[in-house]
Amino acid sequence: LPTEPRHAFVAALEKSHGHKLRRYLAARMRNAAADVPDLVQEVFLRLLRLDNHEAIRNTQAYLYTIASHVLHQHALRRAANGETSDVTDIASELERSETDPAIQLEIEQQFEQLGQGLLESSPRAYATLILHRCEGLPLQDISQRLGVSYSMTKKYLAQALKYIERRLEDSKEAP
Amino acid sequence: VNTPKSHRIPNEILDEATTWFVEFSEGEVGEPQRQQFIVWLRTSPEHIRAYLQITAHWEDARALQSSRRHSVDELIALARTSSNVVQVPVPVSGLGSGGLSRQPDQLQFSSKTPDQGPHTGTFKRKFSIAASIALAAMGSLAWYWYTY
Repeated sequence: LPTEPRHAFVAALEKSHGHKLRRYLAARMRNAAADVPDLVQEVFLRLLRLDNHEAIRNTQAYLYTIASHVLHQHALRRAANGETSDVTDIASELERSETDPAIQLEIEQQFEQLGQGLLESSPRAYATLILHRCEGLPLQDISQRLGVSYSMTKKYLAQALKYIERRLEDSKEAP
Repeated sequence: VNTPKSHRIPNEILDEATTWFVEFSEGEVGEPQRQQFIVWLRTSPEHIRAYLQITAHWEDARALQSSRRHSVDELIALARTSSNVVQVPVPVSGLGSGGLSRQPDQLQFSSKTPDQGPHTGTFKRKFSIAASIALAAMGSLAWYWYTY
């Protein structure tokens, strides 16, 4: 695809799928071990080439947009190699990852263990994550109810996410 | 040092990635900070990988809803009573063993506080059930000092 239509495609994808796209991108980079260095490296190189002014204006969206481009091209390469893939596959895979009961069950089981471990290690980090992510309580409100500062609550949330990463790394390293 | 195939994100990068993620999700990132974030992202692919990973965990963490057993009030009470108490880690089967002895100090001490380095080392070396009570007290003080 020429640059413009591709850009439009990715922009539309980002707009229509939002968090699904971000989750999918990261999950792909997490799961497809063989692809990880290439894909992340490509995102990195593109980010280096990006005009500074543009990048600063909407940083996070740019990161996801670039990652989407990279993933899109990866899909095209797979198609060129004879693997069943099409640009529309990305959208359908996005839908599938969100609605497939088997995938959802696997994530739920994994996170049940992670949640239990986090609760035992740091009840405050656990409570902050659940209240913010699942209950949608703003961190400001959580900080008031916990009787701690707002910046402290942000640290609890960061710790919870860090804990999840470490435990998942451990589970991958375990034989 | 060769990079292991399933390599762990270095602690400092993980700290930074989670901190950035929380800042952005709170929507309070000004232009100077965004500039810093771009510089940070452009430092290495590892930074990008860390940030995307954290994004994925955030998205997946919604799944915690199905297994949670506490109401909002119960969670608040649980968190409040855990104040200044370092939890003794209880091994959980099925998710590997390597991280279990590391997690408590990673949660209680941050690599961003270099002064605590020696304490962290001591914590790791001497960590045992027998020593945990004394260390919990020490950890509480360090935790308190670090967080406030």
